[in-house]
Amino acid sequence: VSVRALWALIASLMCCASGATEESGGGPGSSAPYPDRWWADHIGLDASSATTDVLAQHCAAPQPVTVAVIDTGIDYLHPDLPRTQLWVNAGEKLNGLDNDHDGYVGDLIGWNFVDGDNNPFDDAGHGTLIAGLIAAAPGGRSPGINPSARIMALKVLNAAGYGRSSDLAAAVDFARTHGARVINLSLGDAELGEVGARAVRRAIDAGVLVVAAAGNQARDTHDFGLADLDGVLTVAATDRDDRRAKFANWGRSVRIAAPGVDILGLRARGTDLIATSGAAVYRPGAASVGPEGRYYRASGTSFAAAIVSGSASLLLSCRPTLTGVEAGRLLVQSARELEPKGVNLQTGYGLLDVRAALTGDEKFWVEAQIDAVALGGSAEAPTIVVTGTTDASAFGGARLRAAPESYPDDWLDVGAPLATAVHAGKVAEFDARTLRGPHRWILELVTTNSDGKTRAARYALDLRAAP
Amino acid sequence: MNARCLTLLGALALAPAVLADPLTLGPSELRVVELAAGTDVEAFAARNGIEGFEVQPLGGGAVAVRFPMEEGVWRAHREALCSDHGVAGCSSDACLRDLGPETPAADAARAEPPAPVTEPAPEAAIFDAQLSGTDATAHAAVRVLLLPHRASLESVFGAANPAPSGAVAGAAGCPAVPGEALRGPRMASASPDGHLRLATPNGTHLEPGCWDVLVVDRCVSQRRPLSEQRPDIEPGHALLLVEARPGGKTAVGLEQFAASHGITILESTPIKALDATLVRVALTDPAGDLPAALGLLMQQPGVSAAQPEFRYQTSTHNDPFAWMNYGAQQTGADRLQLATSGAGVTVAVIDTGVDAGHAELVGRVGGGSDLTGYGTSGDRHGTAVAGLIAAAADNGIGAYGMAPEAKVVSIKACEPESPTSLGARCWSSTLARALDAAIALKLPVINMSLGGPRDPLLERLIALAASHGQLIVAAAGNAGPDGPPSYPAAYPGVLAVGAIDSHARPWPNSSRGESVAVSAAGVGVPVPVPGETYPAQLSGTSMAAAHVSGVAALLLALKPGASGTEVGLALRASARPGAGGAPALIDGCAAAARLGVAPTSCAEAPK
Repeated sequence: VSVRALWALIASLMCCASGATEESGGGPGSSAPYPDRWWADHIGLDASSATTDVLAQHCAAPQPVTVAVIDTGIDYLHPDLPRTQLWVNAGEKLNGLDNDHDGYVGDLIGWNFVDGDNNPFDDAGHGTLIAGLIAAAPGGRSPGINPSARIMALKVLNAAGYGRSSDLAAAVDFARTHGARVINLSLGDAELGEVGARAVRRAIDAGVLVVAAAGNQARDTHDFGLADLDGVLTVAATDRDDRRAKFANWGRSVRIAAPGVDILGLRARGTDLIATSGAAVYRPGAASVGPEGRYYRASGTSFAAAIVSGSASLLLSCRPTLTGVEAGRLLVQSARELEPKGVNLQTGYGLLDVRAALTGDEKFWVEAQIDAVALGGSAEAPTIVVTGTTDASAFGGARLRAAPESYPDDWLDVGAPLATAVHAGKVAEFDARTLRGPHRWILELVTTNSDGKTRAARYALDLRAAP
Repeated sequence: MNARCLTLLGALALAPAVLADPLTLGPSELRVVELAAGTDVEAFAARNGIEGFEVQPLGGGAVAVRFPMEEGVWRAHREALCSDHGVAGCSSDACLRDLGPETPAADAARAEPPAPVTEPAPEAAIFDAQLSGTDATAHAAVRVLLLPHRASLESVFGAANPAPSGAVAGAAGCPAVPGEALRGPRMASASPDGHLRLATPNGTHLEPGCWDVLVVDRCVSQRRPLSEQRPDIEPGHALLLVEARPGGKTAVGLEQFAASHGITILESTPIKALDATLVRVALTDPAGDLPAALGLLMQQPGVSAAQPEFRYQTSTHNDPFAWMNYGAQQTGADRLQLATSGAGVTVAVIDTGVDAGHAELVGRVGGGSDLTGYGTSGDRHGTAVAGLIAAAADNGIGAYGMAPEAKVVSIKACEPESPTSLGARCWSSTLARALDAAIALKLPVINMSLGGPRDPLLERLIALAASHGQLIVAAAGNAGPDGPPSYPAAYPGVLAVGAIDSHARPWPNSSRGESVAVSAAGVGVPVPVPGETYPAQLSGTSMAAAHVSGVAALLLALKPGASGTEVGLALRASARPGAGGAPALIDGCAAAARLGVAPTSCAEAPK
């Protein structure tokens, strides 16, 4: 089967899948059928002629791209994850020796850091869902976003879904030193630890794209170690209405949003992820889908991150000269703006748009982001201090303006215009008494590129809630 | 997170009267440092008082070193430790978790209808334990999961064995996708009071070799084969130990209780060593609730212990190798035999029956009592073990034993699966009576080439025998390096013997572990066969144990005043370091020297 034929096949599957009806699962409230891949056309991956043209035009000869899935392992016996979809360590043989002298004996398809052996089999079900969304072979019920992706299976989470930061560090270094171009990290917690953070930093510095899930606690990612690391592509989740999922974490580190509610993927045999995660209201087996329960439906920013990792790998397959980090920026820059408008704390630059990214210019980018707003100055002369980022591939300038929330078109310029780029620093400080009248204001930071293209970031400010 | 080790008190429900090993999960408080390439890890650990560390390679020669350290110690030493030479990163080893799934209950429209209320199905407990401590929040995170035993990657991706479609994720010989076959809970969370119980619907057949039990408290976990959690037991049978009392009236009360509770008393036999009576009973319903029955029986007057009837197996594989009687040379028995042939020493062989009429064993076998109820017999396994200990030398047939003029007392506690089978079954009750007999006979060496689950009754009798100076030599087991510990080999004080081949390489199927102290010949060794003149070649830790029992007999003949345990200690302490991960090699001459009775023949070059 030629690569072109695979693309035709995947396109036709998307078409048919979008009309498929639910055959199991669902519930009393689910009278409307849940299409298997409801999210595909939300991220510009539908079967419309436009996309097919885009793929045919820009992806005539997709190259294999290694994606490290650092997770609970993968079910490498799943029919939709055949060996063709796996990274195979060409330097290693199964002869009981460390043939490639990397300190890991028999690391043929990855490594199991939990048990310290070469068998990263998924005993929890989480990693298989992630791997399938990225790279499941065409022909199944839930084909992956990029059939040219090759999954490197690195198991750091145990059967209950927990794992050590030290194992994460070793796994990230394994991925970096064994040729992974994208690392998917659908894991985290309040702390990451310095050793783990340093390993992630090394990967980013080497041009590897590190995609992380924002988390599901509906809280600020500022307190969420991995997702808050500089340079990590942190992903929030959206639902079928393209709204931020209620559970998704938010914050200045959220870069992009992708579908993360009711996502169908591959189920590792013998697993029931929702049951083992200790869900209170759940009937065991209810999330399994299809004959023999080969598929599984779940929600979480984990799966939104996987969709972004898969899309990034697709960019790299189609545009092999990009680095991982460039592919990540291209995805962010070409994201589709969601409500509320502007770059914001909830969905970052907006919803993933693969079609736009495939044709985007990696040399062109405009950044605007408001990280925080605080009170400054003195009691007699209070000021409002705005921190954030404004930059562009050819920075032309930036300005900050404000409008009352109730009169959103009555813009008032505040602070001094900026002539130089700012990275995670002070973008403006202005007299607090400028904002007279209403309590609730919208702040907007607008970055302008030298060619006149602009990007706006917005921040909802409630003066009564200010510290 | 507070510093604590999670201890499970009594990991097994099958024997409430006698708790199995407490299961301790590892320390939860780990720290991790990144050491730059070229840093001496050992020296770093020694400087900072770090013990029990693990090293993970990072890219470019750097390593991550993680180690347990309690919060107080960490706080006090953190600054110095983190600024030590070569430290590039330094932090607590955070516990991370997966970020999905979001609980469906968060989205009411997606919530599944509650399962219909049905009659609770009868359950069979797989795991039943009480967590220590009273912290309900800490207990809440603890879970127990039943997971398929994994196949090795080699079996799936090996060059000779490309992944077949529909291949099995479980271990070899397990039903395809065992996880799918099981209906019912595979996971349980601890209750707020710390009770952790995993049960499957009764009647669900679980092959112990196909499953693992994982106890997990967030990042701290322990995975064990189900075979360790659920030992092989005789269904519906139980053993009671009834203390002897003046007048012997307790039995009457027990009979009445049994009659009114549907319990049949099968047999009552005295265990003189314990001054008690062993009562074997059967429940009317073999699939009934054994733990509950044991709990009831425990409460009866005079009953001091109640437990399942565990099953044991002899430890031999029929695995012919090249003809070679290398064991005598390897253990030093050849050289000791120039000074003694073991005359005057008697070894107890607790096994299947021994063919006392075999030409190799004529005049050497005493005892012959049958404790199995199947009758006396001359069986392959017992005859092989007896022959390795005491087969005649220079009689023109077969090979020769390690101590060719020693005697063996055959105590038949195991029944072959078929008259010509090597495989055999033994039981708690027959082994208890066999040990009682061996203790009464005051035999210095007791050979037990068999293994099975941990058993409090046998543990007690073995400790008693050891305290009398008797040496118990046991087969390490044939479960391979990753197999569960085998008992009696793993009891303290027992000399557990692993098998090696003629090149002193470890036999791949030999069990390993801390308890396996020594090794001896056990691959393709020549043994007598009942009713035949020509020997067979057998492999197994059974054979290895018999070699050591024979050497022990030689040493006892050289030093008649010594006790069995004294000889055992000498054999253990003088063993030579093994190669390729094999336990230390038995060295009869070195042991003799240690006992101060090395014959001049030991100074000669080996034959």
